[in-house]
Amino acid sequence: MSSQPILSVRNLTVVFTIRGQKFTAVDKLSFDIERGETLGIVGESGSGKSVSCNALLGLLPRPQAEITGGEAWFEGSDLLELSEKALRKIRGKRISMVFQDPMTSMNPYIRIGDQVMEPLLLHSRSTAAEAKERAIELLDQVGIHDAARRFDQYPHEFSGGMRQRAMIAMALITAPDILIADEPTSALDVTVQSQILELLKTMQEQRGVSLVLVSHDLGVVRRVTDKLVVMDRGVSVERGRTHQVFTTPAHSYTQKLLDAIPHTAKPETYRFVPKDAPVYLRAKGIRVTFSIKHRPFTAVDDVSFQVRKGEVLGIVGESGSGKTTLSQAVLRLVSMEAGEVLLEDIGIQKLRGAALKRYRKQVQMVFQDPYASLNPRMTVHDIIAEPIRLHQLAEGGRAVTAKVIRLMQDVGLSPAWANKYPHEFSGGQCQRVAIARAIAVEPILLIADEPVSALDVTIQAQVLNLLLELIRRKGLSMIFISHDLAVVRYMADRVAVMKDGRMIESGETETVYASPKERYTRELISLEKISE
Amino acid sequence: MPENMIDSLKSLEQIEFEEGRSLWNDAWVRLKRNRLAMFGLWVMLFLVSISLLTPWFAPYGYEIQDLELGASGPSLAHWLGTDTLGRDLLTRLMYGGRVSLLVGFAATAVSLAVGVIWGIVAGYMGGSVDAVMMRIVDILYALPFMIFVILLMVVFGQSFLLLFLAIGLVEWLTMARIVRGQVQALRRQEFVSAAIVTGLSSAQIMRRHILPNIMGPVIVYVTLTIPAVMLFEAFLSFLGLGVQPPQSSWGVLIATGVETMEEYPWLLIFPGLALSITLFALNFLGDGLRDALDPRSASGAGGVHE
Repeated sequence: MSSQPILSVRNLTVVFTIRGQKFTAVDKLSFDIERGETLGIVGESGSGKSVSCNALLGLLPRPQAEITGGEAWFEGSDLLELSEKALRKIRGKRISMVFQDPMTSMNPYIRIGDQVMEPLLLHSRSTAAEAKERAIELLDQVGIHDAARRFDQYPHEFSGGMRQRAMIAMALITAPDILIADEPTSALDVTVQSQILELLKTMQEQRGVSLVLVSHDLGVVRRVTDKLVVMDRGVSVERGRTHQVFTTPAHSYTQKLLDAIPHTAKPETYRFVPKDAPVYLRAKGIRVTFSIKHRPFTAVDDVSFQVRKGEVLGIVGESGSGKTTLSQAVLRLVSMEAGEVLLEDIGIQKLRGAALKRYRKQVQMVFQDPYASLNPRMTVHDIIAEPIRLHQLAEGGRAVTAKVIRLMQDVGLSPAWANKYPHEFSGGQCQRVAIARAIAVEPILLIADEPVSALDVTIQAQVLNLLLELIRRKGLSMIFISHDLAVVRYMADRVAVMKDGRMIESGETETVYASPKERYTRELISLEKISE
Repeated sequence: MPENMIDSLKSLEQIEFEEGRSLWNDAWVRLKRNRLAMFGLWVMLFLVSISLLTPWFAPYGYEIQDLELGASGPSLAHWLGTDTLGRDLLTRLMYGGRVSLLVGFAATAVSLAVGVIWGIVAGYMGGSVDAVMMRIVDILYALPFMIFVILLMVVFGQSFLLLFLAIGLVEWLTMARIVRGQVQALRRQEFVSAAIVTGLSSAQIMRRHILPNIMGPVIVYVTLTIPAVMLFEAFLSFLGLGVQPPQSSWGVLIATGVETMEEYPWLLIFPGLALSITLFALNFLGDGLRDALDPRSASGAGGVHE
């Protein structure tokens, strides 16, 4: 293992200038990668992990970003010193890249096959026919069935996982020495994630490519990499063999990252729902149908469930399983084709006017994307005050403000920030604002749709605990929706598993976790255990 | 709990210090820091106040001719020269500005009000409401609007009010389309869902959540519409449907100036300059307003600093 490293980065420093203020995005980052080795770069958003990869390939946004120091030796030349022209010969040929979102990194107007063979046509003297043959061969190897026919399809005809497979084929077609994968699985479903990781690993082993895997997901990094670099705010705080870092982390930040993911059952203190607690919400035979291109598509099919007072019902499922649509049906954001929802034995479908407004006061929602769910042109004070004013929960400006302040304190925000706008907050803080807005009307049921999946791991745990604490203090019930089984296990008293619009299994969380009945549930749980 | 109460009372006092901070207050603060936009604002205020005071300030009467003098270049008696009939150009520019600015602002205001409301309702309600509303827009678009305007004039005779109405009624169509597109994208944002879940009515959501978020493109379009309307008025006047001689407007002055461009260039240069200055001022002001109304833009950073 003491061979010459293929890429050797020393003291890479990148400085961003934003509105006249300089900040160091990457500070003296060093690492080596040998032929055929897999290196993981782990960190939360803003840790500089993507910036450092982009710096190596000359993809930094100019003129805001500037490489102020360091070197990156690749085959006897310093990548950071190369001209754009020289770099272009390396980029895509010797070092290629796979991006996070296969939706946006492929051009929707160009056929998959043409995109896959493009790097080969650019970088070698292959004829179109040779390139096409090679592309089909590779598409086949990355697991696209019937590659010759699929070659002529457009990106929208591919699923997310298949697009990511095609991206990998495209990155490998020039037989590069190094493959940089920036969060290659973060936009994919868990079951697909694991297939893509498997594929990356196989390709890397078969071809002896060196793989740089950038990820915020410790589970992913642990499964695939030989060694890793942990980054925190631009600084690499820990480097070492993956196994070693995971068993004996040396730096407190690494420890914090490792501790952040709850892999436990729901804490005892939050399990207090008596068996005979009254049922708040009853849903029977819900069916929601959309028409997509004039064809009916059943998003939710015959789903029934109930939520008792003080209980957290977890709903797990992958994207497209209908879990979000189900929550929208309960909130009357979409209309149901069949079935009924009863809140305290009152049907919600026919509510109008004052009765509907009362229902809106009883059931509240926390959304996935904390930035998108807050109006960017309202101050945090006004955002939280809006439901208070609307439902007349306080009289006069002073009383409203006092209530806003109390709510901000409840969710752990400093009241001094009341006059700031959402963009001035971090994602976790925005989610706290959204939670404050939701509990402002003193609801009895809170629906949380992936409330932490857009947040960094260390923040996730804080927000989850805040939600549990609020439920206990205010005696709320909650429907907690997530694709992440570990998170649901930590939060929910009972869990329901959704697949293709149906609820295939439900029961007490620990019972389902210990002895799942359905094959699909077992698969989810086993994937979960790998990354644990 | 008592501790908590004390805390909140204390912070309440801190916050009251800044209370009343709203989007509009903040926007004004930000606008004031943008020197270019403030310059634009002052220029516009200057032009508007001159227009208002023209009847008392104008050096001559707009219809007073001096046929013996004829067209003469700038002099002490006539600062900007005179036209072919010997009328003082400065006077005519001042009176023309009254017409041009009034038409520009009034017609744009009509198109702004109608277009924005129409676009928001169509975009937000969607479905069949949207389909019907936008088909109406399509049909009006398809009408040759010159014929439409001429018909209006023929039926109702010539009046200033009709001129605003006619231009405004044509210009709102584009505004409605722009706004509708923006609203359709906004409607899918989670904060709109959050507002529905909170219990706000559709009208409340459109006013409080949609409207402030479409101000950017609307303002930019308005700054483009005002000069376009001024030129449109010149065209209508040229057809004999707008202001009639001896009255004038900037558009009319430019149109006549073009005819004698080679012999008496000042007759084109000065009206052209007046229109250009207005256009520049409006653009600076518009850009500044757009930035000021977006809390995400750098506070106070306008064109000057960037």
